[in-house]
Amino acid sequence: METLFSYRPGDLLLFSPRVYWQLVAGNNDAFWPLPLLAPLMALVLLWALYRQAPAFIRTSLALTAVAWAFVCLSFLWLEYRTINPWVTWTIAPFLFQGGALLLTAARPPQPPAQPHRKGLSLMLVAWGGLIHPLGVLVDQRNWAAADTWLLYPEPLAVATLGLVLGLTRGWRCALLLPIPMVWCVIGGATLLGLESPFGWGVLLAPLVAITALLPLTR
Amino acid sequence: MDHQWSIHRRRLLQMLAAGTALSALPLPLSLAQGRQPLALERTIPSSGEAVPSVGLGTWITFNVGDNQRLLDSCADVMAAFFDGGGAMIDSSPMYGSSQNTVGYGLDRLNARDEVFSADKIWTRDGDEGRPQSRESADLWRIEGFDLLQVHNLVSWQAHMKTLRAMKEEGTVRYIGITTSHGRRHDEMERIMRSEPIDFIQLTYNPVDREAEDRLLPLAREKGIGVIVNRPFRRGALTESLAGDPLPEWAGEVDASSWAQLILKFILSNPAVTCAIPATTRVDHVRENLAAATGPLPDHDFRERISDTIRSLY
Repeated sequence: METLFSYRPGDLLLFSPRVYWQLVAGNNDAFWPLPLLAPLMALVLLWALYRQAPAFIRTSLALTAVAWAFVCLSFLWLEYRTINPWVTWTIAPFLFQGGALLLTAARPPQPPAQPHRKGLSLMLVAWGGLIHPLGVLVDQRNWAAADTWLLYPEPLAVATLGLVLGLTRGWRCALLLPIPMVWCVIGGATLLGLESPFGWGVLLAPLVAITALLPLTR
Repeated sequence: MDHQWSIHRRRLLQMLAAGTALSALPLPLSLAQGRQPLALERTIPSSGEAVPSVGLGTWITFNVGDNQRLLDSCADVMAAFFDGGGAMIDSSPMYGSSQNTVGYGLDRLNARDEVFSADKIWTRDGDEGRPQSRESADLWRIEGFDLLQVHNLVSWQAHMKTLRAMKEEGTVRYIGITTSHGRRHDEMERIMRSEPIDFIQLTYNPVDREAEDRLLPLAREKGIGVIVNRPFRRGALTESLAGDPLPEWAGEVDASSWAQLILKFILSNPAVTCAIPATTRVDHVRENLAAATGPLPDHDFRERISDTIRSLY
C-alpha cells in the first residue's frame, strides 16, 4: 500500500470535473433515452416501497439488480475505467451486488414493518432516483451531463440503500447493504472532489440507512 | 539506435537555434518551419545538454480517456507547446490515460523529434520497473525515454538499480527521483547524496519554498538537474490570485500575469532546470512559455514576489 499511501486523498482524483462530466454526457448520449426513463423507473421503486405488493417488490428488486450489472459494464468498465484505473477493483463487487439483488427478487422476504424505516427508505429512493440528477442545476452543468440512477453508480447506490432497507430484513438486508454503503462513501467523496455539492447527499446516505436500522420506539 | 539519433539531431537543432552565432548561421530548421525561437534554455548539469526551462506536465490535465475531442484538444496544447519552443513533457503510469494522450499527440503532430520525454516508474514491485517502462514507452509511441524517474520514491532502492542498468545500456539517457507537496525531503536528500542521479523533481513555488533550505543548494553542489512540479499548486495559486490585480512592478520583469510572475520566481532560482506547469489551454501554454523570456527577478525581487503572493493567497 506504500504506492497508495504516498498520496493524500485529494490527489487520488486523477481527472478533472470537465473530463468526468464530458464522460457522463457522452454515456448519456450513447444510451438515450434511458436518462429520461430513469426518473420514471424511480417512481416504480417508490410505488413498490409504498404499497409493498409482491409483484412490485419483485419487479423493483429485479430492475435494480439489472441496473447494478448495467452500470458496472456500460459505465464503470467501458468508460470510467479509462480515466480512473482504480475502478477495476469495483467490477466484482458491483456484479456481486447485482446477482444478490436478483436472487432476492426471486424470493423476496416479508418487508419490515417499522414506519420510520419505511419513511427513510422512501426518502433515500426519492433522493437517488429523482433529486440527485438535479445536481446539474447546482453545478451549472448541462442537462446532458445529468447522472441518473439507472446509468451512474452514486444515485444507484443511494436508491438501492432505500430499496433494500424498505423491502428486506435479516440476513438479506445485511448482505445487500455493505456494497452500496461503501460506494456511497467512495462516490460521494469523488463528487465532492469534483466540486459537486450533491456529493454530500451521497456521502450522508449511509448514515440515513444506519438511522433507519435503529430500533426507534415512541 | 533511432531514438538516440533523434535525440542528438533534436539537440543539435536546439543548440543551433539558441547559439550565439545565430545571425551567422542559416535560419534554423525550427524557425524555417515557422516556429517561435526557443524558450530560455538551461543546461542539464550532468551532461551540459541544453533543455528549454518551461516544460509541460500532464497530471490531471491529460487524463482524458478515449474522448476524441479532448484527445485532440490536448494535442493542440502540445502543438502550441512545441511551436513555442518547449520540449520537456512529463508523465507517469500513475496519471490514468495521460501517457496515451501524450502518445496520441506525438503521433498526430509527428513530434517525436521535438520532445524531451520524461516519465516515471511507479510500482512497489522492484521487478516490474523495466516492463512498466516499456509499457509506458509503448503508450507514448516512442522507442525509449530521455528521462526516467522513480515516482514519489516508491521502492526506490530496487528501481534505482534498474534505472542505473538501463542508463548503462543506453535505453534511457537520464535517471532521477521525484516527490511532491514538500514530502519526504529528508529521504530525497539522502538519495541525492548517495546515488548517481541526473534529476530530482519536487514542488517549488513562491508559497512552497522548503526546497530552498537544503535540496536546491544540494542539487547545485552535486550537479543534479531540478524539475519543478506543481508550480501553481495544481491551479489553486493562480485561481486564488485571479481576483487581484497584478502589481505594476511585475512589468519590471516582463510579467504580464500572475502565472508568469510565479514561473519567473521559480526559474530565477539558479538550481532550477525546468518547471512543468500543466494546462488544458493553448493560451496558457503560450503564456507559460513566455515567462521564460525577458529578465528574471533578483534576490530582493524574488522576496517581493513571494511576500506579495503569500499575503494574497
